[in-house]
Amino acid sequence: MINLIVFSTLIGSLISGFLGRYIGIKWSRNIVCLSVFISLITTYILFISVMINNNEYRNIIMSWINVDFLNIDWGFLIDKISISTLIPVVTISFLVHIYALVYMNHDPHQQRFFSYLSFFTFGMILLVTGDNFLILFLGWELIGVASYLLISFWFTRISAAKSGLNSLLMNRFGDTFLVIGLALIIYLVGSLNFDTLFSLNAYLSTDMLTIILICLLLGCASKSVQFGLHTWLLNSMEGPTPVSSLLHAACLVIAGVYLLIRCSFIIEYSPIILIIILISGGISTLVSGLMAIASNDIKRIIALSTMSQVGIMMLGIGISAYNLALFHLICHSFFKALLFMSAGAIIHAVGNGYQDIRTYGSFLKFLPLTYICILIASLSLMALPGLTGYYSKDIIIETLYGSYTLTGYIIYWFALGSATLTSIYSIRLIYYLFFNKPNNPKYIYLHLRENPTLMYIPMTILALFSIFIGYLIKDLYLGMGTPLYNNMFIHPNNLYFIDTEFSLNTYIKLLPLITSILLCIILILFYELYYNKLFIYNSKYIKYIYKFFNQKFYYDQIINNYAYRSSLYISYLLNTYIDKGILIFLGPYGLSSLSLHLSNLINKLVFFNLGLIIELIFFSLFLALFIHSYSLLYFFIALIIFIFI
Amino acid sequence: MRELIILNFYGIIGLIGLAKNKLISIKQNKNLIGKGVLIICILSLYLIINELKEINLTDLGYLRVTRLLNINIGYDGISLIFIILTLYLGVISIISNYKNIVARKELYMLLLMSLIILMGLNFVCLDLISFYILFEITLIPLFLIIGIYGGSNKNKAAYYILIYTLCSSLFMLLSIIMIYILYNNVDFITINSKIISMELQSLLLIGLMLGLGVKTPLVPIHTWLPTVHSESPLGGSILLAGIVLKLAIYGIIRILLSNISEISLLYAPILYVIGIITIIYSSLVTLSQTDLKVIIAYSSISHLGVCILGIFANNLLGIVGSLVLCLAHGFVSPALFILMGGILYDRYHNRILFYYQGLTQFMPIFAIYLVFFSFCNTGTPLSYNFIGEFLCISGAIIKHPFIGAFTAASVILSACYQFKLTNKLTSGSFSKYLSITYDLLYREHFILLFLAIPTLILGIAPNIISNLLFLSSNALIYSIVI
Repeated sequence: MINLIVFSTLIGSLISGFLGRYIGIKWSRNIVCLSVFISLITTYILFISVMINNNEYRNIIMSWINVDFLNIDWGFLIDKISISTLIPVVTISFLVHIYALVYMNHDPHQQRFFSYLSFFTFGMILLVTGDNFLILFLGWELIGVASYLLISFWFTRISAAKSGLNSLLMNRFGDTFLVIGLALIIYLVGSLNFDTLFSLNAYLSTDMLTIILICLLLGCASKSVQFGLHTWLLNSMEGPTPVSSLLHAACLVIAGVYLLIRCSFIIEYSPIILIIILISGGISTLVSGLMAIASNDIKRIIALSTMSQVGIMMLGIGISAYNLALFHLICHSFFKALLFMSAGAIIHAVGNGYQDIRTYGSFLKFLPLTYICILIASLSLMALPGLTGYYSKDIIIETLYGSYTLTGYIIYWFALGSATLTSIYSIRLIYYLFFNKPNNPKYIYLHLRENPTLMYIPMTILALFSIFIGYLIKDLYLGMGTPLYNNMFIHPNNLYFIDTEFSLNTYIKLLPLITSILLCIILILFYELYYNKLFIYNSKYIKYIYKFFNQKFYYDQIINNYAYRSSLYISYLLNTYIDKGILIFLGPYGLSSLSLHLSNLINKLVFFNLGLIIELIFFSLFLALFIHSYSLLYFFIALIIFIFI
Repeated sequence: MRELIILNFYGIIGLIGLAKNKLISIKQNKNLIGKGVLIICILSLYLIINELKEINLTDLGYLRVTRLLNINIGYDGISLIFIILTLYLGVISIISNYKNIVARKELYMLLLMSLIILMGLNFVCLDLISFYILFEITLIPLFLIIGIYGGSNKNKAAYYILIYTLCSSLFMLLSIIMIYILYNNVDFITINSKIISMELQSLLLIGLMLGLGVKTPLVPIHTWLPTVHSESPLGGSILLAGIVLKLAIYGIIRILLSNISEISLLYAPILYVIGIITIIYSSLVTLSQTDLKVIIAYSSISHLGVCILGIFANNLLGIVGSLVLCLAHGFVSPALFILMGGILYDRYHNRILFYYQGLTQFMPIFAIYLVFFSFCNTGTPLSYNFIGEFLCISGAIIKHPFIGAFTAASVILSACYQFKLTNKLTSGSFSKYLSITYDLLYREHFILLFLAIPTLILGIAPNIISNLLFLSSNALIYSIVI
């Protein structure tokens, strides 16, 4: 069963990739979708078996690396964390495959696309089901490879190729630290199995654990876009929309969160790392919200919203509420994938393919189904009571307050601000898309109609999920006796669950909702009645603030000018002055010119300067004479004579 | 082993005679010498793989030692995989130059084959003098290959390799003479069981590292490699990157680690710093190169730096990782040379990076191989390089956590330079300055496939090779028991 989950997508990918030329577009599409479907069905069967019947599966195929004390197996583990993460991964993979059938319908390279997409799913499943750090790292790298290939799928566009490169290198930066972390784990416990490390957690030195976890956290920060290593996410919106929907909603960006949830056993023994996670999550959730309210690209807004939500998951980890983070991970995947798919539906429907929301407007009459999907997803994202997002997101924000620690209290306001900003940009998105004045040419509106029905089937399923799934599986993940506690560890000092449940004021619990609704109403009033107040370029100060947010805090510029260009300049200097300069001068060039110089001198000596030869003969005679007689005086005389000669 | 040497010896003599006297009309049977050389190489590969059945992996020490011309000939696990690699790459290098050398092809093939045989012999001879002789004699065919068949700057490149290697091997020769004077013996088995005083050991280490460091190459003395790589013909490049650089690692294993092990343990921090400088410096320099083959050459300098860090780690992870990385680099780097110097250069006769753009459009299979080998070269998991690189990094970190952590810089830096190259070649729209050519030929496809398959299979199941290496690399660990 586990083999079926893991390898069916690989087989689909290989068939589509290598035989796609011979079996044709139709069959390669069918086979890939079938392979993901098999994976989906088996995952759901195992979900019931693991979560309800409390089973745990471990499948060891063979030994991978076996050197000295280091034994690493091709082992797969299905426990409660991995199956919970697998559910959104596989579900959304399958739905995205269906969605891509329509979205990529006119592309000539569909076999390649589906092969990559399926390969990505394979990598993600490997990451989630691996039973040691190296299998996890294997999946980690494979999704990096697949995301590079998928983002630069339309390789003729320079910008797509550039953003693929950016994503690859940014992820590699994190991988470097992840590799150091893994090597330090080997140094510390001599094994990379989860069980070995986690069962030794209380006996290891806290400092060493902190260093390891900082390395792992840097890896996670690059994969699940924390502020500082987030630039690749925004650039990677160049790829096709199904890719964004799969990679940047459900799979790639949650890999880091998954790793940290998995490492709960060691994170709990290192209090410093908890605070670092809390701070990084708080900053990235707020900063991404601020960027999103000033962004204009539809997919970038959604991507920034993903970053914000991943930041909130990090907050959940930072206050040791791993089950909340996992629950938010599951719920968030569904409505964020829906949001991306709806954005893709709009881009697909609009004839010119523009992605700037300022060129849209009044799509309500033309795309009602898309409107419903976006509305449901946005309301769920805004955590409206009763929808999926409410159950998962608000509890994390409450727990921040309920932890009654100083950092928790400070970060609570960050999270509250982020929740409010989420509502603002969601409402802004809906308003610009559907209610604004029509801004596109008339031609676009004449040809604007709903996409083929097949595209809406996955979207409808996801819409249902984003309404109901939170309510349905709430008790399984958030309840007092959730089975997840078997596979994660919360230090008794960090258990804030009961405090949050029973000691918080009602207004604290309702504060995110109140602020969101209040600001949304204000925003709609401004848009409808006082639009002239929003002409930002009229005011000097608002203009600067807007530009600051719109340019994403000038972070790209800073990192380009100071990090990349300076290292390229260093490489130029090294190449010019050391490699082609000093080393060549002291090496071959210097050697040859030195020998040439010496030989020239001797040449001169022999052929042109007979006098010198006679001088040398006299000098050597004197020298022999006077050294033989050991007399310094004679030596001086000889020197004087020599000089006069 | 004896059959192998006899086969190669008589085979090459026969072929030289054939080429010299033109016993069979070569005009009628084109590429006869090439075919003959290929057959000899394949037969040798078959024979050496057959040796795997003969040996018992649980035996410690040198296996199947025989005496030929008063020289001990034998091998252990490390030698065996290096010989297999040599002959494997030999077959590939002969096929890779099967068509694209036109003038004086017979001589080229004979030189290539003699280079392969000499390098193969290097791994089986079990004494110091023959090691030195064979280590240096590879220079002669290499010098001739580069000097006769090289690119536009061939004279410069040939002199570079000659001068650098000869100058450095002087110090190595002096060290070897010193060892001989001390022991009055040069047999590996005898000298490994004795200990020299520490002062002499440090002298020996300096001398030997000067000799081996040029071949590796380590940073201040690496200047010959990019030039030589870029100017040499394809077969020479493959053998140079694949095996000649590994001769240095083999030399470190045979002489430094097992003979003057105390001082190589003591001097390890210095060698670590040199290795880290090699990795970071050469990676950074690669970023500003424009020549395709030079980029690959610099990348192999960087990878060999990782190997050096692994081999001096004094634990099994590092040593096995370093050997594995040598082997993996021996598959991937030749493949990249074939892609850059063989396929692209044959079609466009240009090695400038900025000349190319958007090759995926009319050379899709080329692009697949390029992306595959680029990911392998950067050490992505599932490739054999990853196993080597990861074990090297772990070994280095176990040896010294702070210095070793810098080894991991190769993970990001290799991705930077490699994907700068790959992205430029594969992506982008069609350039009007490029003429459209055909995709891979069957011959090229065959070579690349047979370099890709071992990389992938050994990446999934590296234990096939690790089991061979286990006992012989175990003997290299030195521990001072008090």
